[in-house]
Amino acid sequence: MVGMELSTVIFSVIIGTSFGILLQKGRFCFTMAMRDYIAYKDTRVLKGVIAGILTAMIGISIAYTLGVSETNFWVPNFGLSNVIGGFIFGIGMVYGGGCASGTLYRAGEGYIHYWVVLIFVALGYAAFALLFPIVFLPYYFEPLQIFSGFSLIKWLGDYSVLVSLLFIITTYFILKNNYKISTRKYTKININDITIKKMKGPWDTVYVGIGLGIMVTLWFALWGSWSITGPEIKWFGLGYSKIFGEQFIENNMYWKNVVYASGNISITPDMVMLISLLFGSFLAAYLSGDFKIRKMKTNRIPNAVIGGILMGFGSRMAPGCNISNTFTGLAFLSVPGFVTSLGLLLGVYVTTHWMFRKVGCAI
Amino acid sequence: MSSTEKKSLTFVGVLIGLVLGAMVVGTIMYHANNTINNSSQRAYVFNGLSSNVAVIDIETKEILSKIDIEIQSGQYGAHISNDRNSIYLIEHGGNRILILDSSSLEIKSRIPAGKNLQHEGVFTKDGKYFLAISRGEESLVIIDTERGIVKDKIKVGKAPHNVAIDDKNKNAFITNTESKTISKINLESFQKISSYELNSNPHMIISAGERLYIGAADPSKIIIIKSDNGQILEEIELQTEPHGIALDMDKKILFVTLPESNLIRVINTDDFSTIKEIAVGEKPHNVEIMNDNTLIFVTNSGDGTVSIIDVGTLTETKRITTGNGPHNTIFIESITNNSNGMNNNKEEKIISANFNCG
Repeated sequence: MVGMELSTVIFSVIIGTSFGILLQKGRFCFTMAMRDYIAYKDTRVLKGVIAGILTAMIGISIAYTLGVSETNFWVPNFGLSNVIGGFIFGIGMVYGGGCASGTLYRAGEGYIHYWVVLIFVALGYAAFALLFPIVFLPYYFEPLQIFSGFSLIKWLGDYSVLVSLLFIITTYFILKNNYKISTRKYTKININDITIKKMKGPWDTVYVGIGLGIMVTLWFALWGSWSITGPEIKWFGLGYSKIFGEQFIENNMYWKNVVYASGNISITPDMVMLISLLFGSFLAAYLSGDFKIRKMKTNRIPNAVIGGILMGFGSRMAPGCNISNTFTGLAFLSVPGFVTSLGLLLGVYVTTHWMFRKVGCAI
Repeated sequence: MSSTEKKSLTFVGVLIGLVLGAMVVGTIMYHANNTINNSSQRAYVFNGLSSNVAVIDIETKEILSKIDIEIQSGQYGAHISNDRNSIYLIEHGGNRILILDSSSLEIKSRIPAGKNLQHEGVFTKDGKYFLAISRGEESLVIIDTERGIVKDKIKVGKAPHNVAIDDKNKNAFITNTESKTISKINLESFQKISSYELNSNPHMIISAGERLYIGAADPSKIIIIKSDNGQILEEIELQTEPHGIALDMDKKILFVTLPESNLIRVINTDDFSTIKEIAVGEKPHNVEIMNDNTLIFVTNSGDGTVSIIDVGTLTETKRITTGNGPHNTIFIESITNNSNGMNNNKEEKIISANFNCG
């Protein structure tokens, strides 16, 4: 862990493991959240996603007000490139069967399918990097990624907490009045009721969402935006450098000037977090009796291959995945996050309708 | 589907449509705007003693901004790469070449290149190499621009100072001040192939067609020799030492700075006659000409100014105070242009496209 203090490693491991446990116990997948709502009007995971985003929003605005650096925000420039990238990523995650975080926690549960998805995500990254200087930079990013990034939370400064609260209250009342969420019976948390048996079962996604929101806030306060595909591509780049030599990275503009722009090829806190996330999901699955090596169905191979490659390309083209754009991005009230999420939603909607074309979708 | 759900779906659909529509219209407007403005050029004057760069709008001849760069005060030569993406900055007497990003002017990397580097240098025509001079090691230093490393060092004469490359990108010529020679280096084999002897101390050198133009001291003169065999074609006597030399794009006019006289000597390259002497600021150092052959920029290191001279009329049209110790000027096609809040800085886009990688 060259260049990292022990405390950095420890906190990265704790937060990463927590992410993994929460994702696995809540079966917290953005693909599932959106697809299930579109196909069946099932809002079980979607409610958790909304709770997580709102928790992170208030947490991040409080942290920012208390003095966390504005450099911890990830607010990239944006344009139609975000819509296109999000759309492609949305298609990939529905077709592949899981979003960036969903793929990881299922890989930790022992699904071979999702390990294959990850392999093809890595190939997608490599292919994108090869095409970046000759295709994507001159003909995609330069003409399309033209607007300066903007985050309402960052812009409001000390008033961001107030606006976040207003946003949360408004969202609550809209959902309450239109979707009758008030009729939902929440389980009161009583310390005496928490048993090992209950802990082994699935956790309420709303509580999981709130837990993730708190962890995202901690991560933001320590290092910045929570991201999955960011550290993922760094790990794959590190792998490529070991297989093909560091010159492979040095000779490519994307790897050299983008992925490793801030320094040499080394392990960073977000990379430690990612591995810990995988470990956390494995740990949660193992202790709950959910871990099992599950063979891949042959008829699902095209899904893993095409879905993985589309996710690899889409997350580079947006840039970012569902976590950095939809979870953290919307929590930042960031315009790039919002625009990318729209593209992602379109991709999910179109692909869900195509995949459910024989039985039809609820929406 | 209930009426509430229908309303919600309609709302989401309209929202998506509006956002997409705004993005498409914004993109079209941006490119229409960019097409009008993107031809403007800017001159970057490196003020080594002030550790900053003065950015001059060519059209208005006004300073747009001064950008601090993270360098120690000193005398620096700035060289723009062929792809215009990088600036190689060399401190006179230093041992490292700083590579700056031409958009942000931030230091991207540092290359240890040799002892007592001279601030002069040149990129090969294909952009593969940057040639620098190490006076301490009496060598021509070949930098591999793609890999950012020293590829080779070739021994030349005593006290080397400047380097030029012929039009065919075949040979490099190095002035050796104390040896009173010009070293000729083959750029394919990276071997020294010959040495031309002179009768005074050569400093600056430029190559044009079959000729080399050399500014020399003790005695002060401009020497014109044939690049293939070193045969002296002409020697132009000067009252004071020359420093910067440049040719216009037609190679018909030679501009020579005379620091002790505060003048620019303008010489006809057909008959070597003096066309004119133009008064400029104090201690004119280097001279650079724009690609469109309209203006030359003379950095006056004595009073911290830049003289802008019209090539057509051979008159100084404006003198601008830039900062302490201006050494030379480079020209960069303007990328940012407007004040509409849209960001069209190329490098920022590259970084933001990938910062933290999302």
